[in-house]
Amino acid sequence: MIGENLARRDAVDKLRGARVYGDDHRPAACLHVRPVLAGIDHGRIRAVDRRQALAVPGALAVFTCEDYPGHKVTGRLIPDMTVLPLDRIRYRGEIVALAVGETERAAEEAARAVVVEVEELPALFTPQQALEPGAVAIHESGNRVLHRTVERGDVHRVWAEAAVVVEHHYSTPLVEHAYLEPDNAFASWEDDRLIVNGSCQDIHAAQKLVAQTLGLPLERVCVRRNMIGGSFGGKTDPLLELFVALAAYVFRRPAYMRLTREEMFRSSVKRHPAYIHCKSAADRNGRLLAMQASILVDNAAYSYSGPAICSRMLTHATGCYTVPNVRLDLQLVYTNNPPTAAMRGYGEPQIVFAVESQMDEMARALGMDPLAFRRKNALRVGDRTLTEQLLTGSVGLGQTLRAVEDWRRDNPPPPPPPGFVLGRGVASMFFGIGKTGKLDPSTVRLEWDGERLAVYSAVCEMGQGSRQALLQIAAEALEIDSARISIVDNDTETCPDAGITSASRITYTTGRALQDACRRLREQLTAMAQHTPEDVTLPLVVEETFTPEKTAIQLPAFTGEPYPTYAYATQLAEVAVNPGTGEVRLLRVVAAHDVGRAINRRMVCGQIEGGVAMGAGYALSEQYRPGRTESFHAYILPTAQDAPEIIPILIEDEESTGPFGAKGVGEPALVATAPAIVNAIRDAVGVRIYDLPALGEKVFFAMQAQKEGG
Amino acid sequence: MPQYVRPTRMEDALALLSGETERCLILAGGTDLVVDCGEADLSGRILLDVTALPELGQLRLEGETLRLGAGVSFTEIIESGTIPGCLGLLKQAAASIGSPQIRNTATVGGNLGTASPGGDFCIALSGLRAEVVLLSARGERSLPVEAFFTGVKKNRCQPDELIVRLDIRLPLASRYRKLGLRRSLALPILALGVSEYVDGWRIAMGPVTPVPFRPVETEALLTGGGSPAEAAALAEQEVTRLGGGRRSSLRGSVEYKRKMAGALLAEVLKEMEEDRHWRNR
Repeated sequence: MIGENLARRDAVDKLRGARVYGDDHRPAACLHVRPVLAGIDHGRIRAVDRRQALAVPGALAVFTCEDYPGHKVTGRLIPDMTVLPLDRIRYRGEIVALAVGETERAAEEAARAVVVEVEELPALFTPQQALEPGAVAIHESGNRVLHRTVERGDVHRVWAEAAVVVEHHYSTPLVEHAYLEPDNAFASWEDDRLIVNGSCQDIHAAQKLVAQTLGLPLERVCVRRNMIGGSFGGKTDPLLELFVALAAYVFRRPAYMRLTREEMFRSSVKRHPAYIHCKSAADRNGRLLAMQASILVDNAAYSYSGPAICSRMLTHATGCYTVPNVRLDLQLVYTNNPPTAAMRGYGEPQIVFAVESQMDEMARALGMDPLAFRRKNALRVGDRTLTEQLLTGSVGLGQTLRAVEDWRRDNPPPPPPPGFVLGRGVASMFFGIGKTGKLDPSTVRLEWDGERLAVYSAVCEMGQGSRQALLQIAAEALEIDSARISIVDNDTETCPDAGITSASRITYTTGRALQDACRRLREQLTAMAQHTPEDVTLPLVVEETFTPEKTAIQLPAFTGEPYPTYAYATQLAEVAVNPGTGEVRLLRVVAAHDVGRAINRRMVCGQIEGGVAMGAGYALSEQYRPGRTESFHAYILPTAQDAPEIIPILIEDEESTGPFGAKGVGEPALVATAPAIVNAIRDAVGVRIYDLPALGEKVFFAMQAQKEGG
Repeated sequence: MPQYVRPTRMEDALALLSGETERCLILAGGTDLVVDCGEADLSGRILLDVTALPELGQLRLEGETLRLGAGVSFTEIIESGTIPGCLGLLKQAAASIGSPQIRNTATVGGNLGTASPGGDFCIALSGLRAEVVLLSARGERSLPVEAFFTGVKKNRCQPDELIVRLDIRLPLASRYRKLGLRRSLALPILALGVSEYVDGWRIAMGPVTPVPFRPVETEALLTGGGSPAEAAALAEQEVTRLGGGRRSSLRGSVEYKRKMAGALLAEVLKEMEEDRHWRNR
């Protein structure tokens, strides 16, 4: 069962286009909610004039923040956000008010007729601008949200003695999650309970937020999760759920809301841009001596998960290596960009892009092979991480390096396409499983009726295959046919809190809780088998919580054991570059991933393939520009024609605390790809791109500059 | 709801177009029309579906002329055994448009009718000696493709006229090269169509000006026997001298387009030279 490529249960329905998603199930007779978007980057709200809107036939109401009867602050880590803005607009796509109508058209017309009187304020679009003295304060607390420093040893001693010192500035852009299914939600009353159907990655958190903003007791709110068509972290924080809940609450009728793709582009959360100044040094034998980085992270209009993303960024900021001397300085800064929040990789795509580019440059400067250089410094069992956590097992990094070395040796570069030159680049990474230094237990409840097993846990199936993975874990643990098992994950009433589905933590955390629960169930069944049938009470219910072992990060020392285990990977990208135009074609990507244990090998490969494709877009073509990229016309995702051949290699260095040894792969899949590609371009044409994306135009002008300068 | 008609005879289509000019929306593949209409209220309009008109579907050689119906889809062009190798430009341009699904329904006439400065077929046809044939209840007329486009999304087709076909003189050889932000579903950063006729060369490129741009000095240079390297340098100069252009469009800065005019032309001329050698072996 473990490792087997069982077909996913939801595959056939999804392929057939069966009615599975939220929009397919919206109530027949419902009110419609449409957003009023800000349209300016920064300003004070003077007044919201509803009169013309309410005069539209079919229009029922215009809601602003004041209409929420409960506690309006929704910011989770930092209370800098309310369910709708109180008196300030902080980004162009911000939803300022809601129009409710009998039909979607009436609501839309009403939304357009709402007049928001604003006093415009100057707007800031980079952390650098926001830190300038005299810059307008986007929040009362000032523009700097957070400032962290980490020091080990003494970097200053090192620069003079090092054999090689490499110093560069890197930057990464805003990018869009671009999941296939635009946001939607609906809510209705069942007796005296408000039932909200949404797409949230954490339905228990959504339930709390709905109850809190409406001032309802928790027991009177139930959140159910619709089937989700992709998320990548974008559906972490409930939004539409809160909007339809208010409409249903006020009118005591079902209410529905969806966003168009254009509204998703304008309004939805993005990945944090980062500006990273790196200085790294190594000795002539290739041992890393020091890494220094000063990092500016764009917190955009509201914090969302910003501080947590920064924690992960910092804990991984020296790469998957041992480095004796370190100096890190990170600032998280507000701007008027659309909110930056959780997106696959959670800070690592940005920092690893910088670190792995630096590693490549150091290897070059030393005349060392890039894989050999990494192997020399790679984390091993017995090493300590940056936070001084001792790695005691399941460190498959070395195996991933060897797998890529072997592939490279066995697959010499092919002849390039006519007019192109070939290049290869590598990058390695590690990824702590679970929330950085925060307790994140997961609870599972089993119900066995003698024939069939039902597994209850509020895990978010968003297309990654969590249901299938848990199914196979349960089938293996109980040694029963998977056809007798059902996974129920989408209702706050019946499903215990699994914690959020993110941080690549579900297979490890919920899978482990499930494995433990199944073991207890077997013990109980075995014990029961010794009694007479009359003594047996069915259904048997077993509830189990697994809390991964970790410690918080102690400040200011920045020490601790923030993750129970880490996933590792090395990727190699093979590109063809046209020296005449700068065009980059991504030919192949080899992706060797230590996943501990693959529960379903094909699903793990699917995650790797999807992650590589996303990393390729990040590297070569995706950049979100507020006001300018508001459709797939202008926001350039790779198409099937642009996708490389992807060669996943699964390394299984089993994690003793994981279910059957499993760790995780969802986010690791993405992290090493962009630097591998940029390193490959460097290999092909001798120029390095420091600012993603590596558009053909940038490559071309970099080559020009090199010709003229050199 | 709009009215929908799909006449099978040209005279019926033209009569409707002339009698109800303001109400008619011409529908062939619909890949531009459907998107442009969006959620607009089309009640009172007439969707005039021209895909059943035989004249629009023609694709045949008549001596030294290819008659290409405006209703021919890009997939049909790619798969056509009628289009000779010397018109490689047409197949390459067709293959560079959109995606397979779009190519299955989008038509030559639609691309020309939309007249976008980045329209691949607008650029491609401008790189050939071609005539656009227009039909209305008032009769038939034709004009050279270089006279057809008048501005961004503007052409000389009158509201009561239908683009019926393109008459294309066969060149000795031709090629199309497109540089986009990705390899499919991409509007061009810069695209160019080049054809060599017995008595002269022809080059068209876009999007650089509101209508497809002809670097006439470069054409003259090649016609006079100039080398590919000289031609590439001159093409870059001609585009640079145009000046203007949006400093940094999402699809490439002005500086990049200028450089690419030369770079892409150099590539195309090199390929055409290799083809010529291979042909003359």
